[in-house]
Amino acid sequence: MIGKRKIYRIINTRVKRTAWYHSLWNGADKFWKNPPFDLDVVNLGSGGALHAFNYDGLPIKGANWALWPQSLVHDFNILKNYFSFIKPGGTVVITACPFGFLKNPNYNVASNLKYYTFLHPATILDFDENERMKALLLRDNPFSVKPKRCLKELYKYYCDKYLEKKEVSADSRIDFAQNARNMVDAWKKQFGINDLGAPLSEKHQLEYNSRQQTLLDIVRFCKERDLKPVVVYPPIHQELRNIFPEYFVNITKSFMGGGNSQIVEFYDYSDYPAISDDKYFKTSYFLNELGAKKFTEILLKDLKLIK
Amino acid sequence: MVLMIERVLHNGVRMPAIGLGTYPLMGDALYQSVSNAYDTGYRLIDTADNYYNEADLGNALNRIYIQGAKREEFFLVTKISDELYHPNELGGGRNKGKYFWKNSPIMQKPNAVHDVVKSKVEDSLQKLKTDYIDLLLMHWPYPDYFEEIWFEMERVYQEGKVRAIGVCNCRERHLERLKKTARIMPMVNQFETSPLNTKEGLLSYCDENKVQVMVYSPLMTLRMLDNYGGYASLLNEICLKYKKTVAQIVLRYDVQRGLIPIPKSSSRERLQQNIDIFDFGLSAEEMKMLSACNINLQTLPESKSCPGL
Repeated sequence: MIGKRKIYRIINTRVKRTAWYHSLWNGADKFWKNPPFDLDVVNLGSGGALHAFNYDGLPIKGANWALWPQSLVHDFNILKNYFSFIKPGGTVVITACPFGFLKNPNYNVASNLKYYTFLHPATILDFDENERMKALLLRDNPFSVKPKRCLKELYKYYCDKYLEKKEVSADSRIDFAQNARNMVDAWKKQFGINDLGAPLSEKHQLEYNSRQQTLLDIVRFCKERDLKPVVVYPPIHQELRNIFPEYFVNITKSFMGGGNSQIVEFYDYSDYPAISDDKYFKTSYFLNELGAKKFTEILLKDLKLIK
Repeated sequence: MVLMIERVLHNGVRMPAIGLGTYPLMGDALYQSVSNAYDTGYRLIDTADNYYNEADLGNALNRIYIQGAKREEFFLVTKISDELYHPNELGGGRNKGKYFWKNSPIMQKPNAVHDVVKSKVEDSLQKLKTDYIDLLLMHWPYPDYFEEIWFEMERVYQEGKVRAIGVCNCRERHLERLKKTARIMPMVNQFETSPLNTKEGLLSYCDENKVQVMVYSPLMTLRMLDNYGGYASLLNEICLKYKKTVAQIVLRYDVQRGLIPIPKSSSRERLQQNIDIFDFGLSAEEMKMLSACNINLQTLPESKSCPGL
């Protein structure tokens, strides 16, 4: 006779394979096991960084600490928690992105949940003990927290696995121009900006100033601890670049330079010929695996971290 | 009985050259460890307010006092810390972020640091069943209130409730910060070091500034000997020469560097061995060879315990 505990264990093991379970954490599970010590380089960042960096096969100890979605404030909190894993003199890559200088109005309790599974409570925004319990239970024993949802997701998982799947058309390549328009429209809606060429509103200027201070704090933090901060703007597709007016491009770059190139080195690959072909891009904003490997190698050579 | 040597702190307080670590022992296991330790010559006992064992330690010491020991024989070390989730709680053993972090509700009250430090010291005295503590340490250089906590510890020291005060896990930059504001420099800095992670720079800095170093988890590297063949071979060679165990060689290395290790053990045999290190000495060459094993091996993710330290 199989016990209740064993049943839960069996179900939980399978639930943890489902897309739904992974969507709860948005990649945070990479922090559930400690990284190796003495990392040579780490990168912080959000979706763009998550897709832009791939250290596999390179002669270096690197770690991609980006999560999606993630703000600069959360980047800093992750760095505060994990910098012991970076060797003295190691490099911290702060990844630039469009709109990185604004606060994410979509920040909510659900998007915060993942941080309870790996960050110190003092570095979790709006920390709530009930959320902590929920997060840890969901992580370790999802079936005990959401039994019906788990069974539903297991059903879906096994249907997808064993039933016939539709063939993906060889011609279903992405339309980068349309994708870029969709991305920018979504961002404009998300951040409440109608005209990318217009000066920032008062509210956005305050957010810009606040985020700039966070960036400067990250830079100072690194230097105090013998870490080398650099800001990097990964490649983005030409179709996306073409949509951004000059004013917007300048404000983004000015922000990521910390307002002063002597404060932090800024490496701008947003318009990089060697990674301009469509074959390197998953979307107009994200690199694919091929693009990430090529970009990471180029960057590390430019930083003189590999030969 | 082992002939114990002592270190002298910069305020003149004498401190045993080796001690007993107590985390995460509790209850009877703690009593057995402390009782065996006393019998084998230990007098320095190290705990912390967030080990959940101060009360058990106080009870254990009481039982030993009844058997004839005196409070003055012991050198009690405790720490003021953020609280940990109890081992039986979800996420047990991890920091709560309840004290000494600016986001914490408790720290929003006026004079929070003063009140928290005062209350913690009183609580420790009560649990340890004593009216003074020999050495009070700040468990981590909590970045939000580092100087303020030290100020309050200075106050406690001046009130006479503790005989010495110090810090843990501090680097040079932390001690330099204290130099700007402190009236009293720390007498002790407790951190992890070993032949694989010699921290020569920090040790030199502490030495120059008359800060005595204590070593926690001094035998940590012995769990990794399979990974470091050269280090393991060297230890074995030295063991054979002196007919000592690898633990004894590592502890003797610490003592000869002028450090105070605090190994933890429940086994009477190992307690006896760990303190039986004052009847031999490593040569200068052997000390150099052990130090040459240094690879700056980081084993404890300190930033996870104290983000931003």
